[in-house]
Amino acid sequence: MSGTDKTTRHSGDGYNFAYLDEQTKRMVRRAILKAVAIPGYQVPFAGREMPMPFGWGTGGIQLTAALLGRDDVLKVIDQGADDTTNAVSIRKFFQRTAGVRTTERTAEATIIQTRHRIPETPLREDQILVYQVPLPEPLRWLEPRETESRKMHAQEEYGVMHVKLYEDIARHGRIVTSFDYPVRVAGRYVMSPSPIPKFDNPKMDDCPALQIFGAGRERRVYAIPPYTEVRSLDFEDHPFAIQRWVESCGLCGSRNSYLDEIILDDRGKRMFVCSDSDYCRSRRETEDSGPTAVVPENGRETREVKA
Amino acid sequence: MTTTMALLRIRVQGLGKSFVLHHQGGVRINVFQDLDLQVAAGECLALAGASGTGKSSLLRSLYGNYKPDMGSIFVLHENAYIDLASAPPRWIQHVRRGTIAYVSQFLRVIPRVSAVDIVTEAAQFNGRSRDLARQTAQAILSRLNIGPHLWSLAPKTFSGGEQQRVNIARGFARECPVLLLDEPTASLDAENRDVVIRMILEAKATGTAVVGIFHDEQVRSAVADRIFTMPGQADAPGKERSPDCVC
Amino acid sequence: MSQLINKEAPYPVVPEQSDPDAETERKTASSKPCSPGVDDNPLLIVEDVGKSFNGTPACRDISFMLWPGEVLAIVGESGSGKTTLLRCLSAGIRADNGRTSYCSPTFGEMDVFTSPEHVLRQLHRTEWGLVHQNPRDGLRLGVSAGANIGERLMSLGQRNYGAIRDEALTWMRKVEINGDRIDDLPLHFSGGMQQRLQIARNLVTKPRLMFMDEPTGGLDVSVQARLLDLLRSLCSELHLAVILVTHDLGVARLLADRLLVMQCGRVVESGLTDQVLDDPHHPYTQLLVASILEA
Repeated sequence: MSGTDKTTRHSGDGYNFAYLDEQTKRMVRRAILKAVAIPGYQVPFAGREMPMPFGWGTGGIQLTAALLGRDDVLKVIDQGADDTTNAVSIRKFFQRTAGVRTTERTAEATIIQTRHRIPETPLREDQILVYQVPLPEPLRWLEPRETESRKMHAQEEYGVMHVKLYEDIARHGRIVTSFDYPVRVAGRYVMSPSPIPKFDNPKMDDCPALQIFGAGRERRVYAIPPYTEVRSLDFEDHPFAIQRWVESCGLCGSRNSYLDEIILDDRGKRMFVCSDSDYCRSRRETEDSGPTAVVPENGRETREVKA
Repeated sequence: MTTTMALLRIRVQGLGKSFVLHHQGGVRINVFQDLDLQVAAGECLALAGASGTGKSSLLRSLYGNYKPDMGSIFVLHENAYIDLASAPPRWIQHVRRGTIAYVSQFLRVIPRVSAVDIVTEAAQFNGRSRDLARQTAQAILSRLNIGPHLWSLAPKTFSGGEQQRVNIARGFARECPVLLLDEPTASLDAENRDVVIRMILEAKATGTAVVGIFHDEQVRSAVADRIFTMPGQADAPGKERSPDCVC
Repeated sequence: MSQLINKEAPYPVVPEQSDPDAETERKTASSKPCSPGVDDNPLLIVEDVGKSFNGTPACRDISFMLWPGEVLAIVGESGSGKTTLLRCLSAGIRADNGRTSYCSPTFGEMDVFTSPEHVLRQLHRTEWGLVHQNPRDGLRLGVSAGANIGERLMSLGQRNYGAIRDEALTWMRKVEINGDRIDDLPLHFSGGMQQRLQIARNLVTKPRLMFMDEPTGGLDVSVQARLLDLLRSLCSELHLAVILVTHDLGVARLLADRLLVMQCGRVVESGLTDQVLDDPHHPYTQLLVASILEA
């Protein structure tokens, strides 16, 4: 709903611009500023009830609502795609409550709200990436007490994070954690990057865009300022490594993007496609004919995924 | 007397010991009072006296195991005389480690520790390597007729005589300048008794001062240079006399 | 010094000993390499420590010193304040009064009660160890034995998986746990193995001071004996100072150099372990000793 008559619509609905009232936005912005000032540190904020249940991105939405200006261009993705339920409903929410322009193109967006992916297209300084975070506390798996985990952060007691990786290697011979892979931000705070694949971890490092993370249920916000060092935890003899595929994207032929496996029929026919739908489409558009652009029905047989 | 020429290792002055039994009507038992004695390097003093006159209590006091009420017990430790009656616990331990070996009447050890380990641990004290200490331990055990088949076993399962020999081995393994023996040969057969006698004589020859309780007349006459007779129930101060059979 | 060395005694002795100048003798005494120096500095100095709960004193006026490599047992019946004292000393709870100074290689001479929390937490990961009566309180039951041992190393910045694992295996061997169990969860270990694992987990950073609360408390007698022997050899091998709380005088006799006997929150008697147990002076100590069952 690209708004020609947004002001009337909003006043008519009785909603403030971008749903939240201005005082709440100020409160959230203050939390964001603090989060930016202390990279990786989880700042508590007075999260509001949103017109959707927890787990649907209420944290990210509040951050986006606080950040949105009338000139912003919003992109919302879920698992890399713009057309999944969560992405569609959040996009509609802001179209209706803020009337801002929305896009599916990464390069055009000024604010990108995401669930579980970082776009393949490199981000720029004038962009903000807002993550939806279900479980912000990386230490929670071993330390159920909030008071204790806060102390552990304060004292930089991060031995237990490596205990987790140690367990992976001891059980499976390698680090099998492939989502929500813990990182250390600016050499200080250990942070959960939200359930993005570890494939995306390197994109957070030294990223020109501001990255902020919102957890609605836990009411926490944390951030990675532009050009901040983000290191994935690892061992010297088991260094961090990202997933790789022997296959290329069945649609655009990309060999260096994160691929989703799609089952095509009941006989087990499968293909791999880019999880970032915008990236995939723009590759197909720009690289015109594209010898690798194959129709799904003729998608070549693929071998086992090699992570 | 030769003793006045030799290095004094133990000098006891005005020693008194009593027990107060708080749970038996607060009875005070005077074990001994105002004892004086001294023992020189290379000398063996035998404690004699009727049962209950405090021989063992005196021996335990010399080890710092009992705390005397009065008097002093000077023991030559390294280059100084330390009073065990007034020294803080740490010092007593220090003196025990370096200077005094005590062979009690009964073996008291951690259950399930092997005989050879018990003796090795004792032999290790003088800054020896574990290997050397083990060799020493094995040699002493062999000498006391504790064969290799018993070395790896815990002494709890041994006969009384064997246990006592492990105990003796532990005491001698230390090669301390002061050796306190509480009836070391009580439950030993003649052969082992003779081994112990030879070991005591050898220790004396290297300058060890020995204080012991020997009920066995034969052992006493073989090793003792002097006999210290405990006074009867706290009536008179202790007196030293020469053993009848020793010149 | 002077009351320990009898200057007046007429020594009929060889020349070196005939002029006992206290200071020089002291030097010679401590320069012997085989014995722990008598006059090295105490590791822990405890002065007038007291703690009350709701106005009821749990322990009062506790003072003692602990030297490197020394095992000190605190004995007494339940409710005598042993565990409260241990928790005060290990900074688990705040004492109401008194002070405890600890001589740390990292931080130097420091007051335990007034030290900031992060310093104390660091001590607990490095120079101190804490062995709980129930090993489940001191272990992470949900992660493998190897990770339990390796955790302290990882928290100190060890980032080599192979090295951590080697170290874990070494310590499992030392506490007599089969190396095959390195990837097993301690949840499935026997009580004795859990306790040994807890000890290994503490010892991996080679602490100087260990606090142990009834370490053999919940174990079968047979398992207890083996653990006692292990503890004893580890203490001497690592030159560990230990404060050991136990109600079992047998355990105290086997492990401890010195004893503190506590009754109603006070220390009623202290001294060398064998001296206190064989020649108890205080009525309460006599009662304790007289109450031991002979096996």
